[in-house]
Amino acid sequence: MILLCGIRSEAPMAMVARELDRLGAPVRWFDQRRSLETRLCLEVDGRGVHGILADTDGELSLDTVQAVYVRTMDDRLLPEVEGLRADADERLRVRSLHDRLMAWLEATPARVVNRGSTQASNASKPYQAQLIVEAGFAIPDTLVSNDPASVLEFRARHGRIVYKSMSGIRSIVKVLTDLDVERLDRIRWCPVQFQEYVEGVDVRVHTVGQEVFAARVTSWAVDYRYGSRFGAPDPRIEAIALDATLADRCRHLAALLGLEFAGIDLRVRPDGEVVVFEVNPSPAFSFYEERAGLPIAAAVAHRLAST
Amino acid sequence: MDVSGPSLEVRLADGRVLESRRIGGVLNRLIGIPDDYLSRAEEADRDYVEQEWRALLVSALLGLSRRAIPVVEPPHPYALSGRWRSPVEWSLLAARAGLAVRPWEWRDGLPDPGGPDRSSASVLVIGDRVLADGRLGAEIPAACRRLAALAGRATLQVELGTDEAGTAVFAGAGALPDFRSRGEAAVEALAAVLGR
Repeated sequence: MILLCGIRSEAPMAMVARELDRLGAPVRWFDQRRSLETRLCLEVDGRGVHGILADTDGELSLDTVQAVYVRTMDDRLLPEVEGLRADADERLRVRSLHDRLMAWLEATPARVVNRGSTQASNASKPYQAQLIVEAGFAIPDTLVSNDPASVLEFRARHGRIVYKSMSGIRSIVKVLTDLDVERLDRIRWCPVQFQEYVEGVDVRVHTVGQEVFAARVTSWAVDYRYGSRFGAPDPRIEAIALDATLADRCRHLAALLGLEFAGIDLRVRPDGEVVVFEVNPSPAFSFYEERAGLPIAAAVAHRLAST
Repeated sequence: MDVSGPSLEVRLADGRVLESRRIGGVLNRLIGIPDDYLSRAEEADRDYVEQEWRALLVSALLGLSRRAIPVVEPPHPYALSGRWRSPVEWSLLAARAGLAVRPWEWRDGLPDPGGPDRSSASVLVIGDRVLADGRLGAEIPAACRRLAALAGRATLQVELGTDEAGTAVFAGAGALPDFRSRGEAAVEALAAVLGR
């Protein structure tokens, strides 16, 4: 049995479910939108953790689950509970349900794509950057500071610099402009991450176990993911073949982070050096699959079904 | 962070400067960003400010540990005081370490567990030292030390309960040990871990 944890209608989840259906693999959902109707009981002893998942589809023994695809959203933001008080019964029930699910996912011997503990590195980008360096990749020169003078010195050294959040919140890359410099004093209240601007070609690499799918991204936006907000046309996404060495390095990076499935954002400098910006542990791959025709969902489904 | 690796400089309000090259060891007892600091941010920004500070502290402490500076405990992106584990994980690790674990349930309608049993004794693991009451014998402190090793922690407080037969059973593990409970012995053990 393969367990899909997330929201059925969300594009990546739906695409993986469709591919599993093509393979004829048995699937069961932990549908977050049905959290209020879902029950999860765990039994723990010295030998392992066992459990029963129950919802309107019936009961499922978690012992029968061989693989799990996890793409859950923050349960506090689920429409069923978002408008409720923090101490509302329904909200507490949904939180507890997700606590139990996450606890089981960490402890089950099933293949989990990906466990919460391995997804965590992306919650601190400068933390993850240090692991990226350990995997042998270059990263942009980075300054995290709440000292405007240090930022100005960093900008003078690198010329063009960008800024972005360190956590997963408001993670949009922007160039530091003269207008931004005028309000730079505000960073005294909360440190900000600045990076040298890296010239080159954007490549998005998805690794699924040993499989590697790469797409070149062409856009004039600094952050092509949010280009439309700044008037940029849709980026052009084309499938490309990575050279074997770079593909191996990407597999190694994903493995070092403990990720069964990863989306690696990198840029190839004009001199050929590869700079990695970040590794997404729960990639919204549908954007790349639909535009570049990469069979990522099929690879994820195979990974789950071949366990 | 650049090709030479990460470095850290903190300029305190009184003018003192902490530089990574001058730091010899870190005892990390961070649990969160203080509410009174966060309350200065507008409500819409509060979550953002908290997450940004957490991300910074996690990366700064990792950077120190990568410079061969002992950091006790290294943080995890989801928990400043080190990798957070659910009571389920702790129970399974405790069993692997050789501690007795009583079966327990976690289900709707039951309070979320802090551990499977009520604590009646604490064992403190600090590096190679295990600080425990002598009545626990040798095997249980050794198992607690194995548990800390399995969890990848230099320090751990292990709570033990007692079953109907009077056998010590695992009752939970704490990522923020109460060092005060073992006085000077804990201080000496900590100093050893920190290389002093």
